[in-house]
Amino acid sequence: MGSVSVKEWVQNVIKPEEIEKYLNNGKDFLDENFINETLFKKQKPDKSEVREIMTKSLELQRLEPEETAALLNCNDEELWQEMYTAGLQIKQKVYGRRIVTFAPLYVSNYCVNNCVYCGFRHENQDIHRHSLNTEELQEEIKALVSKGHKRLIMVYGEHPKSDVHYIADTLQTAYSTKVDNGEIRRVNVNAAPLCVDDLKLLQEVGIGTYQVFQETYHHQTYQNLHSRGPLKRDYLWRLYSLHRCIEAGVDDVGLGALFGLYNWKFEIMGLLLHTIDLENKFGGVGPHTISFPRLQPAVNTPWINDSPYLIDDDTFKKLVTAIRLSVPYTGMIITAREKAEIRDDVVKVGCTQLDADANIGVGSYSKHTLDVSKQQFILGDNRSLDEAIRALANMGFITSFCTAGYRCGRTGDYFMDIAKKGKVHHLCMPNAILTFKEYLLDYASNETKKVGQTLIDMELESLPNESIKQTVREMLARIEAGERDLFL
Amino acid sequence: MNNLNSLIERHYKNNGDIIHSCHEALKELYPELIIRWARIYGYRWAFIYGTITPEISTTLVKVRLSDIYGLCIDNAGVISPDELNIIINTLKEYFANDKFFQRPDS
Repeated sequence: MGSVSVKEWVQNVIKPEEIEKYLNNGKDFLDENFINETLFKKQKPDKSEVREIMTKSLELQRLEPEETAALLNCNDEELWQEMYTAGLQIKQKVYGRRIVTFAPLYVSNYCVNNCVYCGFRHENQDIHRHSLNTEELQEEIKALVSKGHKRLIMVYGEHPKSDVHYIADTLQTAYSTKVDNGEIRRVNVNAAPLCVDDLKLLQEVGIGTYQVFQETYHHQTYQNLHSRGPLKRDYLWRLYSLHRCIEAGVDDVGLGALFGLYNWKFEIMGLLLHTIDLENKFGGVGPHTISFPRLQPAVNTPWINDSPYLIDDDTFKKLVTAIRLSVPYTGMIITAREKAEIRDDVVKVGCTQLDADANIGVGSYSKHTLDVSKQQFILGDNRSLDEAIRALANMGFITSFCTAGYRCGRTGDYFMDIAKKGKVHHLCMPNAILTFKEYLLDYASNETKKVGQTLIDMELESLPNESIKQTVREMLARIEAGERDLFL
Repeated sequence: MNNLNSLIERHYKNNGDIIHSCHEALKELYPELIIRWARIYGYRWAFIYGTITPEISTTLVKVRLSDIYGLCIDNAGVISPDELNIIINTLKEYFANDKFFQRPDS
């Protein structure tokens, strides 16, 4: 970035014309009156209405706002039990009994913003700031690859030290660092909103999904929480960041809201309206994933304890279920922010991805340290990858490190079309089996190997036709003989 | 493969898009062929155009047509290996021709 000051850099980030082009008659899609009126109108849904909506979800149709509002206002615990079951059925129908696993890698925690709930906020003097250099990043990647990871989400604060050129360089380093049989095959990114030209640069280096979470969809709350962030205070720049991604060709995008900042029902309606606007503007292509992080404690961040919108575990399970039913074909990510027992419970209402063995301190994987002064927040689930995979296997879920779709042209509207037809598992289960086998051979404990192999045998038998079964059997034999990275 | 060339040229005259033209030409010659075109970004082969099928291929062939574009053939077995080689070489000539592509850096 040469001699450009932080102040000068900040002034050149936001491009108003890249917001205005997406507005509907000069307004954004987040119509608060509509959300509030819809939630009010559907205050007391009756049983038959809720069951009809569940049927629509089970047919893999995206819900309309009125239908989601009805689910959110359901107070009948018996119906919620039915919705939990439906959530799992939908997930199994679309994605099969597989869970994609990844690791978060925090690359730089410098940030110009001042989000009151975030440990990385600029004014937090208790955080140790660092941006990984190439050698440090290589050490981090080696540490992750050595545990068996194949997929990462790389996380960056918003700062000229971690501008788009830095992000692109670090992605290239991640892809080019190998250890024995291991390598990172897909890197997703969670970073600040970028302009179209910058996103094209990331596309060129092979980015996976680009995640930008709106945090809260409620305009006034957003302003209150981000008023001192020179960039983040611009609600619309963030709101349309994923529209710009798709325009730039980054066709796998990840939505999210940070639950605990505002009313949870409103946020789910916001996620749904965001999904609908993307689908309307990009020929049916909506989010590849939706995330639903909950506020967690962070170093020197007392605001979190005072938020009036913190949600309990039971409500959390309900909100995840409501998202699953509202957007049946989209991937859903539950992260290690949550405690192990919460994750083990909530994964069963329809999540498709989780992180494991997470260490979110910048530079902490290679040093094997847990340093909360380098973390954005404090993690709830500290299980190792091996433990998490074994727990999933014991619940009947096969862990997938598959990245085949992404490497075989099955991205964007191709993937969305298949997902909406509920056929993702047709494509992905054979590859899940193959990547799981690689993991068991190269990294798993004996205990995990045992339960994992049983699961592989079971899933192999469940594959839809004999020709695919035979091909997978042959590939498994080749993997046992030492070959790696085989996929269909 | 003169036939492939002439079909591509004919479609190109009509639609001005070389990828669509190659796709339509191949589908005319081999209606059963399942193909999709991808933009290559490092590891990522991003879908551009082609047949969307929920069935997984056990004989997938990935062909790098240039440093930027690739072709995925789910059922290359429907064409003889010699024919496939000729097709790939023909396509590579089109994909190497700047006339048909607005390069990202141009």
